[in-house]
Amino acid sequence: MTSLHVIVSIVLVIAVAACDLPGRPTQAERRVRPDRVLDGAALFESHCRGCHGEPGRLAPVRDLGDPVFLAVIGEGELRRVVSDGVAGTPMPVFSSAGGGPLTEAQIAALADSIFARWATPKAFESVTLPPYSEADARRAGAQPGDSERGLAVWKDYCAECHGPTGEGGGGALRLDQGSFLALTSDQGLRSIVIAGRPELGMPSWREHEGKPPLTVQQISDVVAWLASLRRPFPGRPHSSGDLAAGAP
Amino acid sequence: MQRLRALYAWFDQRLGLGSFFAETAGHLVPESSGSWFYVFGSATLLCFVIQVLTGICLSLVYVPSAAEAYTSLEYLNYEVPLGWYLRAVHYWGSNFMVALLSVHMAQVFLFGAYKYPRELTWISGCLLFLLTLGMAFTGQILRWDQDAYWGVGIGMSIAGRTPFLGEPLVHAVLGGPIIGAATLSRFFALHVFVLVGLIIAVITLHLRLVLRSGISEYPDPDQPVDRATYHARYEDLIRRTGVPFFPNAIAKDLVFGALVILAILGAAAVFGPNGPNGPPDPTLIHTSPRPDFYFLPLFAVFALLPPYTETVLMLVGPVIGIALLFAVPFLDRSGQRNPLRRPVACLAVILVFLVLGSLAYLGETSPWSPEMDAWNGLPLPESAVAGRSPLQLVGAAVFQNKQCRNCHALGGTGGARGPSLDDVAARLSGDQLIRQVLRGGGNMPAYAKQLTPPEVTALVAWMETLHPAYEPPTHEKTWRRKKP
Amino acid sequence: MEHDPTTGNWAGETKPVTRRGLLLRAGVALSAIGGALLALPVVGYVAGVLLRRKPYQAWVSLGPVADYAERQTRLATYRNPFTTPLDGAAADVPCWVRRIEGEKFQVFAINCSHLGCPVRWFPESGLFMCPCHGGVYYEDGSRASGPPPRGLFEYAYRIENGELLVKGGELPTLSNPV
Repeated sequence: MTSLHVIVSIVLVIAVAACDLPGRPTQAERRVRPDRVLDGAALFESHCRGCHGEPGRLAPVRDLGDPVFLAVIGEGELRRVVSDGVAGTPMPVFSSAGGGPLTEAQIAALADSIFARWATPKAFESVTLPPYSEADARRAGAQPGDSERGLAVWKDYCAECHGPTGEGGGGALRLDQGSFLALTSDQGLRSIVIAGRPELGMPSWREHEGKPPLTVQQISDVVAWLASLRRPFPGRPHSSGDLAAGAP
Repeated sequence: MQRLRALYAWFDQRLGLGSFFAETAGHLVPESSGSWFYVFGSATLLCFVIQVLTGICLSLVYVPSAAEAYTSLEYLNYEVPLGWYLRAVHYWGSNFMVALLSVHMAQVFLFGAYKYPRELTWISGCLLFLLTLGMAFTGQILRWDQDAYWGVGIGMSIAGRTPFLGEPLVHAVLGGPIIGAATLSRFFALHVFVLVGLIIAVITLHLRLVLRSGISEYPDPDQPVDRATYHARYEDLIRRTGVPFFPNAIAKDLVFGALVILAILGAAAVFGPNGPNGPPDPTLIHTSPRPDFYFLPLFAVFALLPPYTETVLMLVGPVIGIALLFAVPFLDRSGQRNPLRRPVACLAVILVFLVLGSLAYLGETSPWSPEMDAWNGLPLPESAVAGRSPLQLVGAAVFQNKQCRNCHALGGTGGARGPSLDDVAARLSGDQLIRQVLRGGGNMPAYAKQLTPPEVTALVAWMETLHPAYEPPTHEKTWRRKKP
Repeated sequence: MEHDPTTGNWAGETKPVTRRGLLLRAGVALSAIGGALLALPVVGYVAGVLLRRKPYQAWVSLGPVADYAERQTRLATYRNPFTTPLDGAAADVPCWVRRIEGEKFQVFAINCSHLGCPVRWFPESGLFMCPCHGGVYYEDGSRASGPPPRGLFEYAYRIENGELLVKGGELPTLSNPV
């Protein structure tokens, strides 16, 4: 082995050491404790995507990439809903204080990321948004929702697609089922009435064709009417109380 | 050059080893044993040498303390220049060693080289096999990450199933009540001192036996082993066709050995080291511990055995298997050596590798494990949600919410523990779906206590829509239900 | 010349005892004694763990009872009461605390009763799922599906001064359920 061999070998070793070989572990591959992941996009992917899907794709529950919804709910309320869940509906509790998987910091990072990526506050600067919850509406001066007035709103705005009493047109839009109403909270109904479900083709409160936007009072009323359709024993097709009412 | 020769002569006069090495290297072997089939033993030894060298280098930085081990490994990975590469070579060296050892064992078995007079060579080889697996197991634990920590727990749970001795055995291995510093230290002592010493001793014995009884000649179907005449025949073979081991027969060993080294170095450069995969903190429960590839068949077996057979099979099975392995030269003492004339031996080897391979594949894909993040991380395929009524959409949300997706796949994604549900409506009617969800059955738990009636209604309403376009949903022929 | 090593006699000699013979016998005896004395501490050291008579169990606090909401299962962590200074994070033991109602609890060990992997709780479906071999348990710890031979291991617990205490200290296995 000549000295040339030795020099060449040393140079090769240094070259290998400096090189970015594919096997070299990177900082990105280091395992982070799950309760310390603060990347909002990663948190969304691992905790929300299952039910809320991705923006623009069909999913069983509301698309969180809807700027109208984000403008109406606001970040604080979104954090609260994520933390505490919605009892009785498929929205689970996420805060660790309530037994869920995410810490407060993580929920904050998640909410920030959702708003940073999909909210468009500028588009709503000049728009008067309806208040998110009924309590907010009453504080702003509206009356509590009345189901009789709500039926009139329904016939005017909603019956076209959903049928005069909510039985839907051909079944695809049926809302008067006890199970559906049992699994949707009043606030959930209200959010749908206000923000619509754009991916499913349902217009928001101001997008009804040929009609003026729903007023705050009308929103409260129509939600009250829908809530009045709730059954005492939902989901039990063979219980005597419901037989007359028909299917679940 | 002359000075070197003089130096060598000075040492040789005092050590007297020169003639020993010359005789060993130049000893005559039958020409037929210079075959490519015979290279695996020396390749395994080469891997062992690589492991010892890289192991010594690793021990310069690695700290075998429960609190510091993980940090020292991350330090090796990210701060020490080429530290990651050293770890990678040690890891891939161990993979190759186990693989080459298995091939070597299979080759010796198929060539009947364990027959008279080489029974003790086979037994020492089996001992080396067990010691190597011991090194592999203890080595994995020294990585002291999530897989290692829970791997020790699994090993202890198996040991803990021993009747009477279970509890003291667990405490003896753990070095205390729980997996802790004492455990790591014990495995470190085993891996670095005890097992290495034993392996070196048994390798010496193995090589001595190989040299003493001579390398087995390539099996000749017309020359079955006969104890009375074997030695005479072998001596005759050496006389007629004997060639010195060095340089004639060693050439193929050198080539294969070099290829193995290059393969290990290449694999280390391309695939890198294994982890470490997360700190060994038992409070980090979001983990899926897995062993290295050579224990995957065992991992699969533990998942698939019926529960009532497990303790017996876990504790007695390996003993019987190992006893059979050691007893091979006594079950088949002499006779035919050529594999083409030994159908039972060939079929046995094929069967063993097929079984191990299938179990390893199952262990790798582990379909029995629920996919823990499928329920909130995997969106539903659009085809399952498009055109559904609001009740059915809520039902789909209930499906995800109750972790059904963890075990049941839809659209190709989700768990594999239960059947995929893309066509469930073509197989089960609405009532059958309600019954299945509420009562469970087989591997499926019962959900009656966890689902309210509206949730069941919504869920089943949605599931009744899950069928391919060309197949109508099935229905009970004896029921006449009003369609909602 | 023939030499008898026991008595030290050369051929032809008939002495019953020689210096050589005596020294040899004394050397063997002393070495035996020395060897035994050396072996005892070594064996005692290696097997020392087995000589402990008291079980490794002590009452550990899991915090105030008020921390645990009713009808909820939460992860709690305690430091194992028998640790060495070198254990690091390995001595932090997690467990699942289920508050049924009032002061009725169930505290489950994190280890699956099959082979000891950590089980995960899902509140929505009320199931503990094990990632290793697919064991599943119901909310009350009973076996739901998979290879586990029994339900989850449960710690003995008691309430003292509004604090939840559990009797922990050992790795739970089938031969040593906590």
